[in-house]
Amino acid sequence: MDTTLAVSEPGVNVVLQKALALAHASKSASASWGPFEVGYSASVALSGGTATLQNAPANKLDLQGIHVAGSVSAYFTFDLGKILPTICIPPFQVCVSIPFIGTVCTPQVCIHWPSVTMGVNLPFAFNLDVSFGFRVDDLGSQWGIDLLIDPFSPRFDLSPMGPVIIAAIQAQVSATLGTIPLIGGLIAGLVNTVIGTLTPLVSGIIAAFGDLINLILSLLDLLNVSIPFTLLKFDKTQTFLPANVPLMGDAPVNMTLAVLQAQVLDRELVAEASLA
Amino acid sequence: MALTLGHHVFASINESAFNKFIGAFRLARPKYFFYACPPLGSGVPGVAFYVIPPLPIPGTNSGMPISVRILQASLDFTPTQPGLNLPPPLSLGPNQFALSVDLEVCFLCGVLQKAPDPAGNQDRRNPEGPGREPYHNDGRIQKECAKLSIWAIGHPVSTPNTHGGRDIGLHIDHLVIKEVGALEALLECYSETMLNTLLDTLRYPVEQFALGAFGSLSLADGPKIADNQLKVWADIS
Amino acid sequence: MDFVNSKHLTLQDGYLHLFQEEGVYIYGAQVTEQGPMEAGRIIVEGGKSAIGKGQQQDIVFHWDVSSQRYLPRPQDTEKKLGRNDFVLFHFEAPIPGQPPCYILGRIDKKVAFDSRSLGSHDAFSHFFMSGGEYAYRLGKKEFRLNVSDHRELSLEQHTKMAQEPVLIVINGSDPSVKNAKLVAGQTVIWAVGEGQGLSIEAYPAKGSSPSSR
Repeated sequence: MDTTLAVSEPGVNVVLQKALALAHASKSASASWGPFEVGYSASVALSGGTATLQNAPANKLDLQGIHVAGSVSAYFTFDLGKILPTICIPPFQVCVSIPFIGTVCTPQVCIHWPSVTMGVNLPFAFNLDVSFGFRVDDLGSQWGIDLLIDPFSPRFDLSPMGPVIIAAIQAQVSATLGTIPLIGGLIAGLVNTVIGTLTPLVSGIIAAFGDLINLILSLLDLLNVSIPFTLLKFDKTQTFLPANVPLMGDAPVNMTLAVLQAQVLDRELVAEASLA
Repeated sequence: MALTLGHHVFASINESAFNKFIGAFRLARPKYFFYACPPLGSGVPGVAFYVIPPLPIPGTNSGMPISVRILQASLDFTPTQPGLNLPPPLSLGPNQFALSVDLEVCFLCGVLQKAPDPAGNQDRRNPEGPGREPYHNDGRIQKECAKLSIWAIGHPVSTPNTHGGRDIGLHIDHLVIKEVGALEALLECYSETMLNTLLDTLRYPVEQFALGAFGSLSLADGPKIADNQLKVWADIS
Repeated sequence: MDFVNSKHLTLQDGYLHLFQEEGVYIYGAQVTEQGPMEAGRIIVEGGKSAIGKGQQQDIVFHWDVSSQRYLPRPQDTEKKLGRNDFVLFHFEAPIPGQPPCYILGRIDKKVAFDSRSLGSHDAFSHFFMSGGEYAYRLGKKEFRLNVSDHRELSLEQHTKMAQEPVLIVINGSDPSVKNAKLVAGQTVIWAVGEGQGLSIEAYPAKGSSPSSR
């Protein structure tokens, strides 16, 4: 081979950290769980992690401890009228004597429960271990040393979001019901009714958040199992001397990288190329 | 054995690749291998050959057409490849390269061309004096050529470039021309200057080549010649 | 702040009409002028009560989603009263999307009562859910209602106040209480002693900071 390029493990880490710094994405979705309509969006960013190289014949790059951090912004909309029983106020008869009419007893008013819309921000973070194989790809005018991630299943636990969601909705419903007169003594029970309706649904809601986070992870170039991530790119036509240097009218001196191969030797990513 | 030696990136180019590069350079820019006055050049002046002035004839404002053509040039990075017999006192040491060049120098005898008058002698000529034509050898025109074989050794260099990076290149330290008698020292001096000037044009920004794949690189060590390769080490910043 | 407008009745409103003349009245809760009129009948006959001594009857409407109109309870479709008895029209449980309406009554194809145009011995009630500084006009004069948020009071204070409706008697364009002070959870009754073509249309008073629930 005419030329050799080797990148050390620390060098690979530097290159990968640059790639990770650009790895962020977000996506949104919406769905209904019972009376709760939830619009939610998640954003994910990657950082950290340590790359180690496995020599040929394995030719692997292991990236351990990638820090996946982000947040889910969820907007809950629900009609309290679909959850709470009809309550009419005041609970007592109110009468007044009007001289030219008679004794008038005012009607009860049945409460028109309001709809509640509230947002809650749910941060999350977890670490991810992934493994890549190397592949040299012909990218047209370039050669690419590509990473192809092994299928992985990120393990993360979003269950701590459950109490946060419940507490946020509890607070919002309490505040909303608090604006309605003459039901002060009923509020705690009414809030419990709402939370009782919500609680069995929370795990499904959180599972949907997890699905969205997984979807976003799969959209990140580096973590996409079906699309290779190009770690290094080399122009096939290498201009060794540019045109007009040193004299005007000088033609460029180009050479072609005819063949490129890559493997891991002595825990270095070694690429060798032939020039033509 | 690890190649990067504690740095992020190692890159090397083999002597075979360098000789391919010389071939590509010759193909793209033939004039840097052929310096000639127009009667001796062939092809488009300035493209196929580098136009040089004639060799001045003392006492006249004319000169004799000459040409210098590099017939062959090949590099050998240490260690010495079998078959390369460097003439003494040359020997290829660590971090050195050997260059073997065959030159052809030609004079076009019987032809005089107007040559530049650098000292302004023409202005001091007495216009009333007898006019005198330069000597002509009876109208006989003859191309006389001589071939010279040159051997040289040198070392790699790295110099700052205008882009804030560094250029790597080669520089000849010692050159030998054999079988030219008393002219040996003169021709060696001339050839060394000519070849080093040519090598200067071949300097290459190390940040480019394949290392461009990393975005921002800084040369950390090298260039060094060993194992038939020119090697550099760089760190990614 | 609450929507308070006797021309557009909501769940929190009531409309009262005193029946002094015998006859058969056709009534309905109208959303538009073009809507179907008859929802029920009120038959007034006999009775020995003097004005001010009659009995209250309630007609309660609900919004029927399928017919997109207000219907009375079955027992209210035909109501029998004596002279000087009165009917309080109001609404039961809320149905999503139900619009405001007005109560219209006819006898012999003539308008006998119309909640949009309060006359003598009519009354309009509103149960206040939200605090705020409300204003309304009678004639050219503006009058105010200062409604405190119930959360500013203790539960005991609030419960006591809520049991006392605020009565405002209107004669001509002169209300008996010019600047009423009450709390959310209280009902205000505007009862017309003498007058014609009146309405109560409240709006946020200038200089107040509207609050809403």
